[in-house]
Amino acid sequence: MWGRGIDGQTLQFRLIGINNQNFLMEDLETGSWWQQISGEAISGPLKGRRLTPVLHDEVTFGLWRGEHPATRVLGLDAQQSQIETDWEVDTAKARVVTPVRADDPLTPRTLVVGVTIGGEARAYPHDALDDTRVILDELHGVPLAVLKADDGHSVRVFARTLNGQTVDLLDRVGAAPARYIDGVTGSEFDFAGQALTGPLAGQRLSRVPHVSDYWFDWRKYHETTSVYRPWQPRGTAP
Amino acid sequence: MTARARSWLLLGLVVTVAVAWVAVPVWLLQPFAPQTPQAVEWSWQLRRAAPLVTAVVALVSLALAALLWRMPANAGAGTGRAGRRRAPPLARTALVLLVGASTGSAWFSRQNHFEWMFRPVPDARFVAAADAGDLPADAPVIGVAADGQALAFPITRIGYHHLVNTTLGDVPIVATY
Repeated sequence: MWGRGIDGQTLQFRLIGINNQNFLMEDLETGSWWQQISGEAISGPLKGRRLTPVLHDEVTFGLWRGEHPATRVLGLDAQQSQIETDWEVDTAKARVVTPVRADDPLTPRTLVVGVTIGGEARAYPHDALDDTRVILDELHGVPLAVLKADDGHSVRVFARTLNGQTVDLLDRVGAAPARYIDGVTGSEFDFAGQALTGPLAGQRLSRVPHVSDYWFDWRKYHETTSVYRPWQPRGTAP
Repeated sequence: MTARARSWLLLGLVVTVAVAWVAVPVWLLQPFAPQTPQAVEWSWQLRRAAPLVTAVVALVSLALAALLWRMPANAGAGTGRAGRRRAPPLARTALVLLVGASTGSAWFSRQNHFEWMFRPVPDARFVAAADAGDLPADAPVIGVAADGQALAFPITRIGYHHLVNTTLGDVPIVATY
């Protein structure tokens, strides 16, 4: 999701090609080619320029509608063009064309939550959220919480600092909608990062942008990325 | 080399250039092959110049073909039927094919074959959540909200088009998937 304004000009995009399984778009105004995942122009007059990222969500419709009852929804076009819901399953089986490294910590099609702060990148494998709704971590000195909603799909990342204090969120197991409790103050938060009860009630955690991506694609654009691991690697002890 | 042979050679050459000019970017940007930054850059350069190059080739090849069409196989040798002022059938077939290839290249250079497969949405239409039809609650959507406005792009709907140009409030955005 990108802003279309650059230098006071509004760009209109169309699909123009593919680059290592991530699509390229062309703006009709200058003919430059932009990489979808990075928002960077890689060919043409605007080469090297970047589009402004727009904070967005990849969540379930039920959750989104609950938070934004007045939301408008993209309607089907005249051709009723839509993909099958199991299209993702087929995509996940498609061959990957970028090289797989022997020391790769994840398989190419592992879905990851990718976060970048101050040039430091980290990938959180989606399945690290299989057994918990909360990952507490720190990236580039910023304490983070990766939260999963009770729909088992929607993920958001927050900077977990309020009033200079780090908030240690715990999952309130089984709560629907999901609730997260600060172990220090006992304040209860929802999936939007809003404190609903307790001493922090009324305050809100700031969102940290993330992308959901396949590992091979994330690594291609974040060469130095680390991978979050909740467990100790087996068999590496001396 | 006769004038006729030179014309044939030139015709073959320019038509080959035009076909390669439009075919090479297609080949370089195949979906299931790896790309290098150079391949993307070459594709951009070739596609940028393709409409002009192929139009020139189409005109040149038409002119050459018209010339060759009226040129008998053995001009002056007197072996053909008396008074025949046309190229033989095989040569005429070749001329039609070559002109077809050059005009076809000029046409293709003005096409966006990625949009043949993934048709664009020129005027994205949005409906209220209540009118979202049979979209189930567990359907994944891309959501964006600002200034009290919210838009949802169901993956099943944007996934086919890959991108939608729209505005959120008065901010122009492109939703991508």
